[in-house]
Amino acid sequence: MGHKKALGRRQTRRKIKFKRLTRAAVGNLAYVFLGGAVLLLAAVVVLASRQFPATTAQSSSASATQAAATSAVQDGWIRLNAKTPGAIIAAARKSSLFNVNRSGNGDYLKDISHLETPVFVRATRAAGSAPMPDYYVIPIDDASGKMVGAAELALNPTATAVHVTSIVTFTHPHSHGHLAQMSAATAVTDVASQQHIAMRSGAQPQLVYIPIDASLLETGQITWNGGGMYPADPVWLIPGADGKDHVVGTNGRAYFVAALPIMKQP
Amino acid sequence: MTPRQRIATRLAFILISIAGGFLGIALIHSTSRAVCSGCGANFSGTFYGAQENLVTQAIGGTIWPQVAGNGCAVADAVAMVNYDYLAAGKALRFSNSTGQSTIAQGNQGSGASVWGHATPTNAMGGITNIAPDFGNDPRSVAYDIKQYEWGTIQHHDWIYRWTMAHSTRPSFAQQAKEATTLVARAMENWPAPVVVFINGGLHSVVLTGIWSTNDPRTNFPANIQGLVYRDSEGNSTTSRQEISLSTWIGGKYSNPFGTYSLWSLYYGDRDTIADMKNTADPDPTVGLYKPNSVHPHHWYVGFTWVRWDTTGTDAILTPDWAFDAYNGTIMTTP
Repeated sequence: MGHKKALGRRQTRRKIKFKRLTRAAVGNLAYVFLGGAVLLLAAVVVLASRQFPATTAQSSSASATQAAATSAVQDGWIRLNAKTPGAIIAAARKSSLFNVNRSGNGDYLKDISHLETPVFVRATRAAGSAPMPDYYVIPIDDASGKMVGAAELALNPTATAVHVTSIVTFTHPHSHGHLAQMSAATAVTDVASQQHIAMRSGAQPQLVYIPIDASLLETGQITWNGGGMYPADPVWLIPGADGKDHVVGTNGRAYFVAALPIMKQP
Repeated sequence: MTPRQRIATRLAFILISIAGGFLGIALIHSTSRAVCSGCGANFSGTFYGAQENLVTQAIGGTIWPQVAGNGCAVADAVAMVNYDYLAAGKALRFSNSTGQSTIAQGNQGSGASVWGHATPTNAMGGITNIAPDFGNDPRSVAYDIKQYEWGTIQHHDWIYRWTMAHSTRPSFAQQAKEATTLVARAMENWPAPVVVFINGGLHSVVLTGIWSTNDPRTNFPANIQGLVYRDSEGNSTTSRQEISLSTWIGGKYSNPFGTYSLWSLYYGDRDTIADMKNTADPDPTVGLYKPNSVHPHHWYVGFTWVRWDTTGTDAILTPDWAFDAYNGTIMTTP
């Protein structure tokens, strides 16, 4: 009997000890749980901070850009801080056409992020012609590097501001870096062979576009097959040794500038 | 559990809830950025208009360019009909350039308005013109689209003159912005192309979309950012022009097909605003819309376009009727 009682007391002591240990463990588990929660919160805060500061920075950057754009844009004209490729592209990026929503399946170029070096294109002028702006043309490439379109930036008369007038899509992609359909050397050769005029000493070929009144084309009053009618499809102007300017159309034909059907001032 | 342990447990649950909240917001934010990936920049505004793939199909292959110098409107009608067929899941109505000939030839023998037709006629508009136009007048375009359209879809000519919305004349730029807003409203209500008459009425293009930073339905004029149009002088790739609003209402836009005035002039102008010197696109000479001493203009000194009609009484009317674009009502006078 005495042995049984001693055994019972020992078991009771063990149970009490187990309960104490369990209670202590559970009690400490609450603190462990709290510690885990603190660590989790810290980790999430770090994770979120990687999003929010970036976003905030992005938003402030966007706000700053928009604010800068607002101050620099007047009726679509954007102040040009320098004539460097970077400054021209930066100005273009402030324009409305560079900031419209190009997601979705609408009828527009989806990706205008791959930009080539801007190309300066002059308006061809003649006596009595309508005043037309010179342009910077920024070729737009697709992801593979082919030129699929171009942004056209009109330049104000003092060359201090640009206006992104349009974004055009080409009929067929051009090779990277080749906005004009022919080389300057070929144009010089064409003028020499067709008009027997060499390039003026010290002069350089210039890329130009030929503004032609569409109403006259539409009503058949003039015909023109030489291309070069818009800045993104420029042709070469060759200053001739004869003191006259010559233009070589996309059809390979050399013209005197004076003979071009340039739009007249109304 | 001691009171302290209970507090620790509750605190742990609260912290976990807060962490969950942060995590959720972070994930949502990262998803919204992912949607914008590839768009290249922070953008604003909404595009209202047609789907690129359907537009490309509607004018693809040999369907465009226009086959005649004065055939822009017929080519535009082909594009509009084809687009609606494709949008409805049907095959192209016109699969090549002969579609333009079909329409032009059809116009010679049928399609006159209830008031008769203008003379002389031409090889494009035939007897569908109510004005002696050198190509097709806006009524003719509405008729051509309706004639070859599937089902009961209606198209009408819509006109905006400043007198429809104001008692005093706003600036020309304001008028052009308002007219553009009314076109944008149509595209917001139904994302389909619209035929727009440009260059003083000498030419027409298919406007396929407009971007705006605010809702054209509730803003007049809306804050339009730019427009996209397809020009039947070109094909499915070279025809697309994305232009700024300033270009649209400022004109002098040199493009592959010459230098355009776009909407820097009213319909009927030649060189300057309201000069009314465009002799190739006169006002109607027959019917209800023939100008008179009380109402001296129909299309002139305003802007006009042909678009799909939504619902209401206009859907049962013939293409003879033009609509006041501001009030949405049938015009019963010029």
